[in-house]
Amino acid sequence: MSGEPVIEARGLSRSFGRRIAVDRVDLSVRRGEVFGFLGPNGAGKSTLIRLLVGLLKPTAGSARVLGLALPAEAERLRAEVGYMTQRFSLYEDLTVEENLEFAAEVFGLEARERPLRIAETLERFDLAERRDQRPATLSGGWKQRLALAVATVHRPQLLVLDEPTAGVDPDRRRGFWAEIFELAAEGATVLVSTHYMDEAVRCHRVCMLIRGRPVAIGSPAELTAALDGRVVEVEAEPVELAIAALTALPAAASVTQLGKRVHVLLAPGVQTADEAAPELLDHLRAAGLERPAARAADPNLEDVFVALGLGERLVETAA
Amino acid sequence: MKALRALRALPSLPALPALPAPLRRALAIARKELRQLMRDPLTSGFIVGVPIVQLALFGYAINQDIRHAETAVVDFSNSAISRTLIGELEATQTFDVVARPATEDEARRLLGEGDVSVVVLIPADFARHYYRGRGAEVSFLVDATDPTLARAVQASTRGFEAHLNRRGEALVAGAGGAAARPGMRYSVRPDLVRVRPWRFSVLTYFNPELRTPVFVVPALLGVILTTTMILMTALSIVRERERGTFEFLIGTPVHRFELMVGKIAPYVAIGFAQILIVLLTGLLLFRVPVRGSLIDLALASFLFIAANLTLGLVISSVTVNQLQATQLSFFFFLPSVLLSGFMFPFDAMPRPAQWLGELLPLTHYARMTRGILLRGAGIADHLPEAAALLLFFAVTLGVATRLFRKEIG
Repeated sequence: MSGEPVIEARGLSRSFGRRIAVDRVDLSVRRGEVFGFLGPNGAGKSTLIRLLVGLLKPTAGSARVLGLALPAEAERLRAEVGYMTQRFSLYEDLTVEENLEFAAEVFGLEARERPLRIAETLERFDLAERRDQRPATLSGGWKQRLALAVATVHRPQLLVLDEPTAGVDPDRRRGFWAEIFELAAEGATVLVSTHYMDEAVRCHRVCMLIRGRPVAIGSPAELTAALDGRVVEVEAEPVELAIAALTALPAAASVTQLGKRVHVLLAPGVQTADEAAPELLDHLRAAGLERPAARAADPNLEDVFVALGLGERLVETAA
Repeated sequence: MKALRALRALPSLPALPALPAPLRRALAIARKELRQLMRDPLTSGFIVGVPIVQLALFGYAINQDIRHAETAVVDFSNSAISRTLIGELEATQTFDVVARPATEDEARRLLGEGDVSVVVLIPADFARHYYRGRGAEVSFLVDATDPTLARAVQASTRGFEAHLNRRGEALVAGAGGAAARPGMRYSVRPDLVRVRPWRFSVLTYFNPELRTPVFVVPALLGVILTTTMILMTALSIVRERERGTFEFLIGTPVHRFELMVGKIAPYVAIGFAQILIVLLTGLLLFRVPVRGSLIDLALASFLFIAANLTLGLVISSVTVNQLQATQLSFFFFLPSVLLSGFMFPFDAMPRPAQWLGELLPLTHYARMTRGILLRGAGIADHLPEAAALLLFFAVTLGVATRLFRKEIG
């Protein structure tokens, strides 16, 4: 992923009254990158996104986006950005095609090129058959596609998606992400916020936010690498009992159920997963569980989150 | 001119230069707005329905052709001439004689209880006065709790009076002398003879203050525009906030000034459409006069519409949902109706109310439309009013520009 930075933020902060929503964010995003913001609800993802597209003014810090200084040149930036809001924000009383037309007009497409571009966009997002439908009659997944279509009709250099797949079924989410990567491959830079780990993993790089602070920035692989050797996966019946037994152990920083397995993140600096596995098995047998199994496993982004949330200082990869 | 021709001759100039981006975006907003309006049956019904319904409602109230008012006649004279008079009164169809009480007290009681709305008193010496040419006086007592009725009776008797007296004059003129007139038969001296033997006095009861009805229609034009213009612009913007589409709009390159213009423009057209509807309906149903120039009326209306639309923008900037916007619009609408001289005569209002009234666009617009429609005045005769509207527009535009945020939260 090489290329000149499309977004550069320095100490970007925003507070609402006393509440600090975004706290000293330093960022650099390269052209063509799919960059994710990961964090629980209220972590400041939406606020950070709005700061980066110039919809909100920062209370401190500065940012350059597509070579334009924010907030001074925010108005000029709009034409280059496709912004898909978290909540569906298109006109329910206009048809799919009319919504696209309106977007094409306000984003300054020439009357000459408009019909072709709209036809292309309808085709690309499989909306051609539904062009005369109103959004009110579309399902959540189709609304999402329409919103993405509208956000891209003017071929923006920067595509900003605020929790685009919230409330959409997993199948549709996969299709949606395929579109996102296609757009990135065509040269668009994509900023996307999510709280789905399986989506964050697909991003080229992610920025993890906790209470407005960027606690880690890097590729998913880089982030999880810091936790290599600290995850043990346990299989035992009944699972509930195993979880109860494992949670009681001081060596386990967090215990989560993953299907039939139990995912254990070990506390930092004590043991490696290989060393800990036999001890965990002994403990489980002592607790009365029969034929438990345990082996070292790969950490995931959830583990990174847990570790960061517990105040661990993971190596912050260069932004 | 030469330079212009030279410019046109330049081959490099495109045949149809594209509109500047801000205008294009404002137009896009306006087009979208119209589309939504047309699609919303309630709103489009509102645009056409409000003028027609209001005009019909007020049209009945201002209709001077009151017919069949229930009337009690007390005929103390009981003479041939008084019976002729009663017959002629009934023939006008304005009065329906439904009671013939014997005493004035009883007639007043009927009036007080609402059994009749008009009492006609013909005094005992009526015939004598008539024949002596002194001017025979007939009293009409009218229940003026309904001022329209009172005005109608007033107008009707005045017309009747004039009609009877004209007939008298014609007889005088036709016979070439006083002797030929029926009213002159017993007159002693010709120089005492009055040409107006009929004299009706109309007393209005319960509400002696009456207004001239023709004032209502031109002002109604303004009332209708106030209702629709302020409310509709305010709603059209607040609706975007409420439905969340504002969040989409702010992400687009649409500048807030373009948004304001694009939101207002369709309503200017709608305002003029409403004026046409009111004028046509008024003309067809109620024969409202249009004495002045329509261009002057259009100019005055343009100023008034502009003033109302910017006020709608201000309202939309300080409210967060449609309910608030509606309430605030009506908060402005009521004083407009009450203090502009539409409901009550402006001159009869207490001073502070007049000062308040002067602040309202409707007051000035009503004066202009009355002048233009009824007196045939021009906009040049109403420069202070035009200036007041312009000032109101400028101030509200300034406030709207300051308050109108293209921002979230």
